[in-house]
Amino acid sequence: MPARLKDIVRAIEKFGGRVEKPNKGSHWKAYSSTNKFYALPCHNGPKQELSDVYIKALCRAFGLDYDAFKKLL
Amino acid sequence: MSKASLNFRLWALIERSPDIEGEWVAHCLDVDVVSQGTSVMHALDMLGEAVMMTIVEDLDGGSDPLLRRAPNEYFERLHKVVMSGDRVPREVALAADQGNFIYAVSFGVVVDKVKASTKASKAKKRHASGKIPAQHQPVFLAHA
Repeated sequence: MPARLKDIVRAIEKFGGRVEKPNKGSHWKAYSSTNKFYALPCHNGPKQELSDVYIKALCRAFGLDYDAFKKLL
Repeated sequence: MSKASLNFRLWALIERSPDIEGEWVAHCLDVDVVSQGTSVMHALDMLGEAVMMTIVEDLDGGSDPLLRRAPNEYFERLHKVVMSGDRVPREVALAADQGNFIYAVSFGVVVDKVKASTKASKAKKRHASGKIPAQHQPVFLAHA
């Protein structure tokens, strides 16, 4: 199941991470609690839907449990 | 001030999103970065931006971006597409948004590393910036 960008941002923050929104470009910058980086596509703004393929890769990059992350979405 | 460039030749898989209609998902396996767009070209452009941001962040943080490598199962899938796919001209791949192809794409990025010393603090700071040069245009392999 896909998820909206704003929900993914909220879940990242619940896991102790943070998100920065640069003034240019089509991606926001997400950092895990251990300062690992991952780019968040935002070309449609906070309502942007992101594929499950993307969410799995984000969880791998941040070392998060996929099922636990999905429960927060 | 010293300046050095790092050349990366990377592999990506681009295919229709399995769960969002009208979206294409692009996955760069070498750095395990995923992005998405509304067409093959848009997804590839988005992936290029995400990959460069990731490489720059990792280099600035002193880590090797290639250590992010995707799990082997994704490379096995890439291998299958590369071995059984047909090379298609860029224009054909970019115009094929109506099809259900999986594209294996080889593309390149160049990242400039600049080490500059700040007089006030005498601390060395490294900045990195990225670009996709003309000679590193993507090569498409299509698998139905």
